Amino acid sequence: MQLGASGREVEVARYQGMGETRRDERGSSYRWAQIAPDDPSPRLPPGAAGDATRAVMRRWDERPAALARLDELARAIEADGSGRVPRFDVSLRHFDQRVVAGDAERALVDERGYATIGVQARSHAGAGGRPLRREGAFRDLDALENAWRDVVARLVAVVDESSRRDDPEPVRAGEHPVLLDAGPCALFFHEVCGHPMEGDILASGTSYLSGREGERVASEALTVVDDPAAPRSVAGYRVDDEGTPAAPVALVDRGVVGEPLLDVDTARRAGRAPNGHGRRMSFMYPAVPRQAYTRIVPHAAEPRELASTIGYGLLVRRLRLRHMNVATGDFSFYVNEAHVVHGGEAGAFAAPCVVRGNALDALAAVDGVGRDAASFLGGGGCGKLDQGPLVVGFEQPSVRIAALRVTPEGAPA
Amino acid sequence: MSSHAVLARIARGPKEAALGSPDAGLALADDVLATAADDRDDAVELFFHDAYESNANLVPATAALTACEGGALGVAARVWRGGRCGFAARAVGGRDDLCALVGEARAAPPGPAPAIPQPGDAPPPVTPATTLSVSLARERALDFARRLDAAGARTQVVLVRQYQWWTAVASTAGVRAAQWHEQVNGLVRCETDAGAVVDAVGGTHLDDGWDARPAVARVAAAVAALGGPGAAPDLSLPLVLSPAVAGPLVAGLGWLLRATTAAATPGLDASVGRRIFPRALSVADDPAHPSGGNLRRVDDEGVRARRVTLVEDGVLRGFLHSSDTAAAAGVEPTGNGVRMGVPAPPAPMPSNLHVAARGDAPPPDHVELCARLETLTTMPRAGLVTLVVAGWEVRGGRRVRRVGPFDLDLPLVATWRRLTGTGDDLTFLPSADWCGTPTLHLAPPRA
Repeated sequence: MQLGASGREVEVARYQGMGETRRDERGSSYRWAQIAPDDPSPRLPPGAAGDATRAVMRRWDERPAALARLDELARAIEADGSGRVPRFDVSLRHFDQRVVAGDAERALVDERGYATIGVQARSHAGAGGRPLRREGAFRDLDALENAWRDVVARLVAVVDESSRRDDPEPVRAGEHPVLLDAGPCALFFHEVCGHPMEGDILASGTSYLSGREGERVASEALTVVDDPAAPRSVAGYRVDDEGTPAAPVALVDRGVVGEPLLDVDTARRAGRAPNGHGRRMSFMYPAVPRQAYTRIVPHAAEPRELASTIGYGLLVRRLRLRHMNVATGDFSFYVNEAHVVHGGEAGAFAAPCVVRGNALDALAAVDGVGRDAASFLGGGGCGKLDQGPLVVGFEQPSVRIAALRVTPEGAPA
Repeated sequence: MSSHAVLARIARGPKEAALGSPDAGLALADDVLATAADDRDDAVELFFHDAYESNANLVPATAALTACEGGALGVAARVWRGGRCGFAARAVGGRDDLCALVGEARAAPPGPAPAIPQPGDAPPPVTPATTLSVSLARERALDFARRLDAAGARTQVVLVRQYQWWTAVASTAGVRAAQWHEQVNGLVRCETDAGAVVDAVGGTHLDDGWDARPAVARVAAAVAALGGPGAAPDLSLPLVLSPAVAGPLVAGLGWLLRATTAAATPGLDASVGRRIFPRALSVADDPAHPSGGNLRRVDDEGVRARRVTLVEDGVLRGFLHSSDTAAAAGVEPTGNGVRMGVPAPPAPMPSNLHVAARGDAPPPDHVELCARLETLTTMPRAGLVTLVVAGWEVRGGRRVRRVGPFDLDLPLVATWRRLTGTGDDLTFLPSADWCGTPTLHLAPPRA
């Protein structure tokens, strides 16, 4: 549900169904079917899978209550925010899913749920009048109701800051240190490390990390893990969508290229055991290797010290992928929100710019990983092939990259 | 019944779709509307979407081929009462469950009420003669990959999607319309040293709507342009954008010409009837275009779909409307009220929006852009199309050297105002929201 200056939008999706994968010499085939809500005798699989499914199926009538609660909450938040910042929008999402996955002999059940809030407002001149956004993710609506004021307060604070600053400062084109703020900037590693380490991409030979398992690509300070069951992962899972227990997978382990993310098919091709990263958008899709919760493990650096040694550079708070060449590692990101750092101090908001580089160079240039950490679940979700957006989460401390190429938006690369 | 037998039910064609047919859906809707409507309702509407698909995903490097098929029925209900409208949408079972859905819509937190769609002269649905075949999806994926390999492309993945679905809408306001739809499309992602090139093929007829050759040719042209080091472009030259490159620009134009965008763009609404673009630009949306990706006789609100002239020789003629935006603007709906999925309300969307092909000759000296590298989005900010492109410098009609890749920012309105001509090669692009465009000729970015 979204409410605010841009209007009101409500989207409700409720469905249940099942699918079955068969594998033969031609490959795999996946067939799926919807289960009607009021089917008095749904045709479920035999044995353990059918029993487990029957136990988690439920009536639909409890869903309208959740929508009414979201609507009431959205109105309260909108009334609060619109009086404090310009062009305030709030979007709320409630997700409730029950999954039964496995095979004829064994079926595992996973119950997943979360509630998210995203608030957005137009900044003042100091941030160029661009939209600024803050988010929060919680395990349920009760937790969201108790915490939304903090999320709105964070937005109000940054919008107020934009009113006290001068106009955004154009960035100097060139190679500069970039400090990625804790939390949302883990998107960088999701794109640069995560997708290239998905089992199907590695197996196709089109990843710049193909054939590099065990190779050092970064300092020992950097460890990137995808951990669906991490304590802070509100949108994670205990069992993946193929019935494999979730497991943390170190994509980069103390600077060394680690293991791939695998589903059953890619695990078999790789001669390994699946490691709990077979995910699907819904019962209408086959599983493919996907990320779930990209976590950069905190290290020893003091966050303030990471900034203090930057003579001129960027403190990036929000960024968005522009392009990622998985085969070569070349990347570029739009910087949605950042401050220009002068003499170790974060100053004016940065004018729109793009950071570019090559993944191997950037990983090797990570020269500081903080001891702070913040989790983040927001944005539009992750897309892969025709399955998207799929919810993914991030967790990251402050991370400094010694040099990335920065260009003002619109300037030649 | 075992799960195998359950899924075997699905392995049949349109006549065996979840609810059977649009006629069955309309008959059920009539029954439910007669039963579930309340005298205090201003109107009640039911929208059905019953779909079946069979798909194939191929990773050529590993020969991993995954076939996928299934079907689902969803229904959306809207209830108007006292100037407000409640909405509910989900999978449904039988008649009683549909009545319950109407109750859920009535009980849902109401929002501002869109205009109630009015009955029109909707044509009857035409049942497709073809049956979906997952084997055919596999064959098409393998064929596409073979052709790309022969053309020198490094294909990372081929996705073939085949759909058949029917939609039906009925309301207590008298709307009663239904339609069968078919669509096939194949998407490829090819790696180059400079980045990924994405292209697609498709059409509205499952049996004869598939021809991979044009997409293979476009990918081959892109691979050739990216096949060696390229110089920086001379932006004092005119630009000639092949359809593969021009697609996002046309898709952006399609976004601009929706009534919802027009209403939010100061001055655009008031420009109808004025020449705000060059005479070289004519744009129409044609729901029956034989080369388009959508064949729409009626939209998702029951309004007959029709050809809409949007720009004629540079003169802005109008916008794409749903019933709600049309009512707000005081015009007739254009048959473009489309739901992007059952959970979404109708909104103005193009069917087969395209730029007219004039057959103009390109200037003898120009920068020819025929390769577009994949980026996450081609419109990072409203009204700005941003591409990464490559191609050739052309002098006296001959290619003299490669250019790019380089970043090309195309502010939407300002770029279309630089249009000097269009080619004769109208191409509909599944990879650009099914928009159609010929080659575009643009005045130099730097005067």
